[in-house]
Order: sequence, then C-alpha cells, then structure tokens
Amino acid sequence: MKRRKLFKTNNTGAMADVAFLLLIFFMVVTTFNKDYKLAMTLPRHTENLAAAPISKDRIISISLNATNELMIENNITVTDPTSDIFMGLKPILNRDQKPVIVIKMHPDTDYQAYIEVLAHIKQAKETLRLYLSQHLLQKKYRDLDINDKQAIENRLQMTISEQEMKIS
Amino acid sequence: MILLKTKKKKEMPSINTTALPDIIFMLLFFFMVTTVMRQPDSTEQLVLPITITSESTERSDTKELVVSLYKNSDQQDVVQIQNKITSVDQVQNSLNLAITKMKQNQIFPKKAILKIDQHIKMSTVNKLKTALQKAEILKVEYVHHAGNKTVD
Repeated sequence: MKRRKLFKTNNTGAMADVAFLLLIFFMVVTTFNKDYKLAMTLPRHTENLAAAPISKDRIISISLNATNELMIENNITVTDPTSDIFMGLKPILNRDQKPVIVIKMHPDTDYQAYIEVLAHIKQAKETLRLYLSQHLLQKKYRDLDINDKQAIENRLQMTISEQEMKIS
Repeated sequence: MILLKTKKKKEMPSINTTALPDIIFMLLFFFMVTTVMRQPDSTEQLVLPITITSESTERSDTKELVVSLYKNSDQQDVVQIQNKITSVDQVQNSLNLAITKMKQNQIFPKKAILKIDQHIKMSTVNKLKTALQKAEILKVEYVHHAGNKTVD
C-alpha cells in the first residue's frame, strides 16, 4: 500500500476536456472566405451588330482606361462612383425611360476595375429602389406589397452594354 | 479485524485515463494533417476581385459550368473549365468539349460560374464571354469577395 503512494501522478482526466474545448472553440471560430456573386445575363451572340438608334438622353457612359481609371459621363474625377451613377440614372428614371449604361473599356483594363463598376451599378440600383418607392409611392421600400415591388422592379430595368475599345 | 475492514472498504480500481488526452490529441493532429479543403480547381494563383456588394452564392453544383481564368506560374493567361486547363486561345474548343461531355451525362448547363483573377485583362475576359455566348450559355455569375478594397 505504501509503495503505490510513491508514484504520485497528477490527475490528467481534465486534459481531454481541455483538448476538446480547444477543438470545439476553433471549430466554431473558424470561418472560411465566403464567395459572393454578381449575376448577369449575356446577350445572344450575333455576327453583325445592327445599329439600333438609342436616344442620347437615356444613355450613361462609363469608361475605363488601361490604368483602370474611371470616367462617368464626362467626369474624370470620380470620387463616389455609386452616387455618380445614381445621379445619372435618376433623371432618366424620372422621365420613365429605360436607361442604357454603356461601359467602354480598354483591352488592358483589369478585371477588378470592371467588376467594381458592375458592383457600383448594382449598388446604385439598390439606392434607386429606395428612392423610387419614396418618390413614386411615398412609402418605404420595405413596406411595399409584392405588386408595388414588381412595379418598381419593372421601372428599374436597364440595359448594360459593353464595348471594348478598338486600339489600332 | 482491522485488516478485514480495510479490505472490504477497498474501492474498485479506476481506469487509468492518462493516455486519453494523448489519443484525442493524436486524432486531432491526424485530422488536421490529413484534411484537405475541397478545391475543385487547383487555382492557387487565382485571387478573386473584391467589391462592395455582397450577394452570397448558393450552389446547385452539377448544372453549372465552373470556368476559372488566371495566370499560371509562367505568367500566361490560362482558362480552366471544370478540371481541364488550356490556353485562352483554345477557350472555345475546350468549352464546347466540356459542354458535350456534360450533355452526354444528361446535364444541360445553363449557367457559368466565372472565377476570374483580379489582374486578368478585360480583352481576355471578353474572349471568354464571346465563347460563352457562342456556346449559348448566357447566364453568368462573377464570383468575388466582399469588401471595400480597390485595385492595388
């Protein structure tokens, strides 16, 4: 009996608990980099593009150069692209016309710059949604019923046209 | 008498649990080492662009065509369709090939998931888009990360 007491060991039963606790903590805390999407529908492929006359007053042109600089309409010092696009779209939508956004890009424009433009358009659309519901229906967007929401969506329909600049 | 009493009081010997944490740690390390995150495309050079919007993706897998565009280690633009890597000039061929293969398995792709590196030039991206248009895949989703970062 006395000899057994010589081997004094620490109680390590709690060690497993600690290990489990750490394991579960890291399992809960770990986050993976989530991916997000920007959905678009491409036009059908046609060999010869027919020139369709579009009145100038419903076009907003956005240009991207080779060094990823942005020009909206004729403004080359863009500080807030979302609000610039919003301000451009607002009068067109107020006239109840379907806006056409023309994105002109240099072949050497980075994809990042292009995708940012798409994101800003989407953001501007979001702001317009709120603006239109307030302006047309005098209601907050979240208080609208389905029909009203659909009406706003119809009004917000726009075309995005993309052109690659021809560099000779 | 005293000896007998102590004998009766003797508790059942407890199981030695000293090795239990070792086993758990071993399992933990084993899974840490062996776990491989699912990477359908081995695109370590691909850095997705970052934008301000944040509509999360929900995958229905199979019916979608995953197309990645990135620079390989030789700084050449390459396109990866499902798991096949080709040069950008071959994009139309490999796209058609991938679609035919999917159709053989009774899968009719309608949507393309585009994972494009942020530093790819738009001329390359447009080549891919034209190829998709020709292949009649008109729904595209540009995959990106959410954030506020601009190009560096």
